[in-house]
Amino acid sequence: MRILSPQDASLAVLIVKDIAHAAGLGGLKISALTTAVSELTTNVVKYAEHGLLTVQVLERKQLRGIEVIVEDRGPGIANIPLAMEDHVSTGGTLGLGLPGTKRMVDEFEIQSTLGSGTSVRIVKWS
Amino acid sequence: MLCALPLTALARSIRLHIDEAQGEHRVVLQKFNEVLIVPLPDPVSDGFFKDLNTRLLAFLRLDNVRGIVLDLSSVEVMDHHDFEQINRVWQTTHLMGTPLVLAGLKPGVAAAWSLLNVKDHWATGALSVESAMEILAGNQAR
Amino acid sequence: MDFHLLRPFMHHNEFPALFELQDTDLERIAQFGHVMAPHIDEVIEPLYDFLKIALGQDFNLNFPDEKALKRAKSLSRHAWLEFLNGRWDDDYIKSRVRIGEVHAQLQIEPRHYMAAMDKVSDLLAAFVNRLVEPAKATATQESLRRLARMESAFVVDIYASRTTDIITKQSRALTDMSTPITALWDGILMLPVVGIVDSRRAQDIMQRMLEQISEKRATVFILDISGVAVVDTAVANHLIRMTKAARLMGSYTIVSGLSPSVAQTIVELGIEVGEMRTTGNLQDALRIAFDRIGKEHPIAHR
Repeated sequence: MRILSPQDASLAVLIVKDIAHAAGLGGLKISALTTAVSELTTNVVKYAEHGLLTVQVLERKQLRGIEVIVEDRGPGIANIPLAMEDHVSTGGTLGLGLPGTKRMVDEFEIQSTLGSGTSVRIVKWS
Repeated sequence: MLCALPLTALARSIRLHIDEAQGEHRVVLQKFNEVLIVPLPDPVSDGFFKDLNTRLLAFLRLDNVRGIVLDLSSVEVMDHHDFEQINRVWQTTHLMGTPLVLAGLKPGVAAAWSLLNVKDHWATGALSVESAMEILAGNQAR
Repeated sequence: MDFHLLRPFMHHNEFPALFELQDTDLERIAQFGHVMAPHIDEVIEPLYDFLKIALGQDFNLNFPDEKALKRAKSLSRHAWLEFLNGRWDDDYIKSRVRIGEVHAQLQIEPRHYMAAMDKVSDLLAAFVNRLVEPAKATATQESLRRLARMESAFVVDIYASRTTDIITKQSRALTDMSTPITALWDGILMLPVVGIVDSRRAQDIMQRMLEQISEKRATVFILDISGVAVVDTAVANHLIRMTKAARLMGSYTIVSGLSPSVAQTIVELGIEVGEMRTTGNLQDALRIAFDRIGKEHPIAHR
């Protein structure tokens, strides 16, 4: 799904929510997943001109999982480890919200090259 | 609009290309006992918050408002960006000397904001619009 | 390799110091190893004969057929030849961890393992008398025993951590039967938290807690942690997050059941509990809870 504007981001969240619901994920897991998707797509809208969201249902033994990949060709993240740290500073905002996003999902992978873009893959299992 | 999409099949992989949706943000304000009640739409958007801030500033200047309740009970998903938007609303009203209460926050959002470690020291929460009104009334008594 | 098995692995440098094993010991063993290697089967066979008698019925359980027995002997041979190389390095450690793993998986009792180590030490000592010049014999025997003891301790360590894992899994299974959230009063909910609070359980607790707060309109929520096994930084963070989420919803959280030792740990670890309200026992928490209700609903004074 192509993300160009905040409305696309909202739509993306709704789509993921529907898919997660259809896959049988419980209420709060859906909330966590959709918030994570919201975080990631908001980043795309904020920092990159456009992005691509891919959602897929995974199956592993008895479990179903929702995999969402959000990619963009934006400026990229210079220092990933730093971005993954919680900011305890006063007055500062949360920046990319990545550490929190990681806490909300079961699997989290991020790749980013300065100048070329960022790709984040998250999975939430049922 | 969502119904039009074939979401029934648990498709192994869905790659959707969707045209830009038309967003709608209408700010609805209700006044009750000199308290302004603002239901937030689902989903929230930057456009909505922009309009809200403008409306609030205008309202607070003209009318006697002793408190504001943001009714969050319809909002299913909010990330930290949305949290910051709400904080900005609070900052505005705070500067105008009017207290603001967040009412009816959904468990999923509360959990998410908590995991995202948002800075929430400024926020006053209430279980419902009703309780929010009581809190504001209590404020008055002090 | 499982992380938990890396525990002894990470401390493998401690072992030589603890067991007073020096480079000279390893050299002696290596030297002896050269002449011993061709005779290795003369140790392996008696070892298995011994095991057959010592283990009795268990022997057939562990080595049900000719193929299994042959394979086991081959593994033993390999393991002892490595032992006789006289090296305590990363590769060697890894192979010992693997041995521990296999023994644990096959559920070979530690005592049987140790008996086998002892038996081989004895057999090797006899060979030392045969193959090594008298001047060096005693020292060589001593070195062999030292390494054998050290290795035994290492492998048994792995057993222990494996067992702990199993017990943890079992106890988790027990405590997974989650405790119910009870209403102590109108607007006051309580949840006794029992057992281990890892991130999975914390997620489960927070979910139920917040859903109930919403459903039952709980102004106060009491989390009783007197049944929690370990309260460390991670657990404290979980509790802080729950408190935070509940507060955003408009509910006040009290964490009760802090034992003096837990309180001490929190202070020692320098955990910042911030505004989180805590009490030692449930009664205090209840009193605070009623106080809060009284404040917000002037009608409900008790």
